[in-house]
Order: sequence, then C-alpha cells, then structure tokens
Amino acid sequence: MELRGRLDHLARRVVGWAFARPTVLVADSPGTTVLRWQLEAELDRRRWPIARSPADADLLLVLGEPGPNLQAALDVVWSQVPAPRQRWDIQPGADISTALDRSHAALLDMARQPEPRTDDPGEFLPQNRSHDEHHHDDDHDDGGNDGDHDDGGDGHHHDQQGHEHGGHDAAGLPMAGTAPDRDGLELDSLHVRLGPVLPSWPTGLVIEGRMQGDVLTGVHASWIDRPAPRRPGDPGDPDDPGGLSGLRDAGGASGLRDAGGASGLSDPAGVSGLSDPGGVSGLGAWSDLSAEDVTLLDWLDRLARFLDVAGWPAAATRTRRVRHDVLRGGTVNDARADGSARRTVRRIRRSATLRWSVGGIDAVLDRVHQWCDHVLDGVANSRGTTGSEGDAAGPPGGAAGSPRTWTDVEALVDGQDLAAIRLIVASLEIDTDGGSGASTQPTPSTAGQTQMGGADE
Amino acid sequence: MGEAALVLLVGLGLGAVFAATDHAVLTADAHGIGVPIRRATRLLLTQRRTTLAPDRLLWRIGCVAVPLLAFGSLAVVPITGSSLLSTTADLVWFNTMEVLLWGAVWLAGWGPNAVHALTGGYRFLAQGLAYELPLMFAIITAGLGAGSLNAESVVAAQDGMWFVVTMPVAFAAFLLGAAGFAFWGPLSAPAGADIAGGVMSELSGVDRLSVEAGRAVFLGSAAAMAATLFLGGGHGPWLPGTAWLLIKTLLVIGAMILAGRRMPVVRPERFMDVAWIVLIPATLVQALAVALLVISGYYG
Repeated sequence: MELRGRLDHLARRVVGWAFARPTVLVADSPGTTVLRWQLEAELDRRRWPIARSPADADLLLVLGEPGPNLQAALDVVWSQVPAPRQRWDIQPGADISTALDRSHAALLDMARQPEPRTDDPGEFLPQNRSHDEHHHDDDHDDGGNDGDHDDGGDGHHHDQQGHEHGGHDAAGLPMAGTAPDRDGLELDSLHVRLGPVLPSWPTGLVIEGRMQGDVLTGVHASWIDRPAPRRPGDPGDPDDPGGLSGLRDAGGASGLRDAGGASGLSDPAGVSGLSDPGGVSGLGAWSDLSAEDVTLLDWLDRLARFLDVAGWPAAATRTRRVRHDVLRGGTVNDARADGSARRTVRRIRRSATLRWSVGGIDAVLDRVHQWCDHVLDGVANSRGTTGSEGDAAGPPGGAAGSPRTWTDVEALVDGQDLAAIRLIVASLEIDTDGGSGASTQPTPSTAGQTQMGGADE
Repeated sequence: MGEAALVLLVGLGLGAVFAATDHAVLTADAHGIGVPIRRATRLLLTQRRTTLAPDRLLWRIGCVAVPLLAFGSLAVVPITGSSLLSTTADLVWFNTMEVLLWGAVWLAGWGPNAVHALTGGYRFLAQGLAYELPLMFAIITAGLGAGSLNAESVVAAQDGMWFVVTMPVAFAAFLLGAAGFAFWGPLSAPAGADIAGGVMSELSGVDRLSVEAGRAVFLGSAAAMAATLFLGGGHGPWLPGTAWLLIKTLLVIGAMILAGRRMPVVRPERFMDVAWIVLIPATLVQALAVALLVISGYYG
C-alpha cells in the first residue's frame, strides 16, 4: 500500500510539473481591452504561453461578458479544447492573479482524475446546427477557431451559395462545390468564415466569403452581437443615403477608429471608454493611467498583435514587454520602458525583411510604420524631447490610406489570400470596444478628416 | 541495435536542444532548458482530440511520418565516424527523407478536414517548390566536391579544408532549406499564427507531440548534416570526432536560431520570387564553380 501511495504522489507531482505553465486561450469581450493588457502582463510574468488554437489550449479565459452570439461561438471553441481543460470568466476589476491561481488549481485537479476525458469535441457542432442554417454555416471548417451561429438573416450568404454547383453534404456539413474563380477557372469553392475568435484578431469581427485556394471573394464583414452596419442601397435606410456612417456613428455599429488614430485617441472621450473609469473596460484601479499612456499602450498593443500575425514572435514578445512596463509604471517616463521601447520599435521600423515580406499588400506597411512613429513620438513627447524618427512621417493623423467604412474594408480584403487578409485586418485601427456609448463620437478633427476622405458623407 | 539507439538518442537530444534554445531566444527566458521535456509530458497527458469528419487514417499517417522521417535522415549522418545506414548514396537518402515530408505534412494538413490546417498544408507545398531545388543543388555540390554521395567519404574529403570555404552559398542554401522543410523561423508560414497554427492547428495530445518533436529532430538532424557536409564533420584536433561533430552541430543550431528569429515570416509568394530569381541561379553558379575546382584538381 505504501508503494501505491508513493506512486500516486509521484504521479501527482509529474502532472503538477507538466501543467505548471498551462497554455491559455484568451477571449476578450468588447470593452475589456485594458483587462486584456493586465491579463497578458500577468501571463507573461508567469510565463504561461498563449495558444494559437483551441487544440493547444488548457485554459479558456473569457474576459468581461460576451454577448449571446459571441457566447455561442465560445461554446464551440470550448468544445474543441482537449481535456484536461478549464474555462474561466474574469470580470473587469477582478483580481487576475487569484483567478489564474484558481483556474490553474482546477486544471490540475482535472488532470489528476484517472480518466480526464470529455465528449468528442466534434459532436458539439451538428447538435447546434438547425436544419435551416446548415447550408451556409460551415464554421467547423474554419480551423476550429470560430463557430458563431450569428445568422444575420440578411440573405447575403444565400446569394453566394447560389453560384456554386455540386456541393454535397459530409457529416451534415456542406462540402466544397466548384465555381469560377477570379481568373474564370472552375475551382473548388467553400464558404468560409474568419472569426469571431482568432489569435491576434479583433474578437467579434467576422469576415466571411467564398474561398478558392486560399483566396477569399464575395467578402462580407460584420460585428457579432452588434447591429449590422448600414450599407448603401440597403432598404429601410432613407435617412442615410450614403449609408456608411455607421462606422463611427455614436450609437451605431462602430468599429473603425479614426484612421490616423491620434485624433481619436488623444481625446479622452475618444479612447473608447478606456480611460473612462465608469466605462465598460473597468479601468478601476488603473484610472491613474493618463490618456497619453492609454494611447501609447494602444499603439504598442496593435503593433504587438500585428507582429504576431506577421510571424515575428520575438519582436511581438518584446513589444508586449514594453507595453507591460508602461502599464505597470503607469507612465511613459519610466526610463527603462522608454529605452526598450525605442530599441524595439526602431528595430521593427528598420526591418528590411518585414518591409519586403509585407510590402505590396495595400498600405499595411505604411500604417504599421506610422504606429512605430507614433510610439517613438509618444515616448519623445512625454519626455519633453523632440526629434524622433517619426517627425519625417508628418503629424499623427496623416492616414496612410486607411479605409473609412465597412465597404472599404470589404473592398480591401476582397480577392486577397488568407495571409493578406489577416495582415490587412491587423493593420487597421479597428475599435473592438466600439459601441460603448459616447466613445465613438467624432471629434472635430475626425469630422474634418472624414470630409477630406469624402467617403462618409 | 546499439547504433539505432544512438541515432534515437542523439536525435532526441539535438531536437530538445534546438527546441530549448529556440524557446530561450523567443521569450528571452534563459531558464527554459526543461521546457521541451515539460511540454512533451504535458502533451502526453492531454486528450487526443478529433474534428468533424476527419480523414483519420491519412491524418495519422502524416503525423507519425514526420518523426520517422526525421530519425531516418539522421541515420546517414556519421555520428561516430560511421553512420547507422552507410550507403553509396547517403546524400540522396537524406534528400529523400526530406522530400517525403512533402507528403507527410500535406496529409497532416489535409486530415483534420479544416480550412486552416489545409491552407497550411498547401503553403508547405508552395514553399517546397521554392526551397527544394536550391536545397538539392546544395546537397549535390558537397557530393560533387567529394566525388562521392557517401557521407563518410564527404567527411574524409574535408581532411585538409572544410567545404564551407569553397561552398558558402551551398551551406547557406542548405540551412535555408532546413528551415523550409521543418517549416520553422522565417519559413514557418505553413504553421503561421495568421492561420491559427496551420497544419498544427487541429493537433493535440500525442499527435501534436509527434509532429512538434519530428520538426525539432529534423532541425537537429539538418544541423548535424550541415556540419557533416560543410564543416568537416568529425575533423578537429585533440577531441574525438564525435565530440567535434556535436560541437559543430550545436554551433550550427545556435547560428540558425539567432539568424532565423531576427526576422518575421517571409510570405511564401515572396520567398518564391527570391528562390527562383536569386537562389537557384546562385546555387547553380556555386555548383559550376565547384565543378571547375574539381576538374582543376583542387580537392585532390
């Protein structure tokens, strides 16, 4: 008996060691950006890696309160996480460290069960699929990273399906049919949906279209759990003939921040509730962050996520560390954060490989370089110095060909391959916190730019 | 039997060293020595999940083939002065193992019936079209210099001078090819974060362990082969040959990681341009130069 007790003890220790640094999948509901920054800082401190897909995750951490459709999508994601696993909700203002400790302990408990098995993850999907839906809802095919059941009910998908021939069902899912591609060749065609939950992707954004090869056409972009953006020509929208103002409309679907970033960001009310203690993001104890800090953090965050998508994990990690430093210090005047920010960002700005690999896709590189400049500017300004590299790029807000409307975004990504779509989306200043009240009120400068852009009015 | 165990051991060791060093450079965490072993243990304790309507048989074949091919490629590296499989065409054997990966990785992407995994599989093939020819030319250039396709003969031919001196382009192309067939570093697009891990996206438990370990062992094996073909293998003063080979292999591993992690992923279509416009002509000129040196009797 004693031997058995020792073996049990040993097994428990092995499990504890193996899962000492669980892999984490983070799903951030709208309005939880600051919470996500805090969480990622704590995860990095503990050296818990971030999962790229549910298959490699141990913990699913859901931030804030997801809307009904995002919740449904997360249920599907959760069904694809292999055991042992734990799903944990973290609300703004909660003690992150305690939540992580508890979820970790629960994970270890599950791992120490003799047979930690769950249902076959695949079984989840057909059960949730109503018969009507199933002709345009192939979410299981999206790399297992989404599965939202937001029908939208706009009939848009049906039109696309109408062009395809020869689709059959396999396991209740429609198979790829064939359709002429952009060059007129008959190629396999599959209805594909990107989002709403993907690594370094604005959670809640859904881009769907017809995929042939890895090229997506007939693209439709939308936000889950938000009213569909109005479009030109949509019936029932007589007040807004242009139909495009929903992007930055205060009560509307929102989504795209002002392209230049700075004009919206420098305005405390324009930071999408980030700096608003009473806002959804639950700044709480972090309200000592100044608007400039939040702006700088936001740029660093976008930069880090873009670098992830561009496949430069070393630079993304470093950028994220700078962000943690700024977040902890609560000020950019921290000398260490300042120095490392400069080094890191300059290196990214100068990278010839990045320029060459990403160059040629829309204006992705310009926008990313602009963030680099903004970060360098932000650091310089807060230290009362001038003359950073960013000066050459002109004042912030000189948008590098940023799209202004959903239709623009769809036009940008239409006909692009998956890699290009991910890079373009990662380079856009998409406001995931949109819809949080007054946050998206256009500031005077924003309105001016809108007119210059000429797209909205 | 002993030699097979040695190949297994050296392969796992080099793979673990590669993974640990890679992790340390990526996260700037110097205490990550045990990370690969910890991760392997974790994956062994994790459920093996499945997807809806997978092509189970082909999926499994693809996953299992990756490590098998990796150890197979190490079998022709003369670790102790002689290799496990000494043939008259070792270099072709190594090349074959790595070409068979095309099938294995594609099946791993095809199997789960998922868009991101399949995209990753196709990216691997597209990238293969770019790196494969320069890699073949690089390997054959070493064989050309030695006048033999046997790995031991190639080492013997470098008694006086390492091949890297006259074949720097082939050496670089070989390492680039290694990054390509293990889809690692700047050529990791088949497992890219933009497609949620691509061919790896649906793998969990022992399946993921198989592919991850296979890639690491392949990288270690490629580093050992690079040391064998271009850095004189076991040649060196004072120390025994095996020690020299391992030292050189570790240096190659370190150099690969430091160089490879300094840059972002190169998109396959961009890499295709470079491969066909720059790399293929460059490796051909390299082979031509070596051929002229052979004719002039430079290599003895």
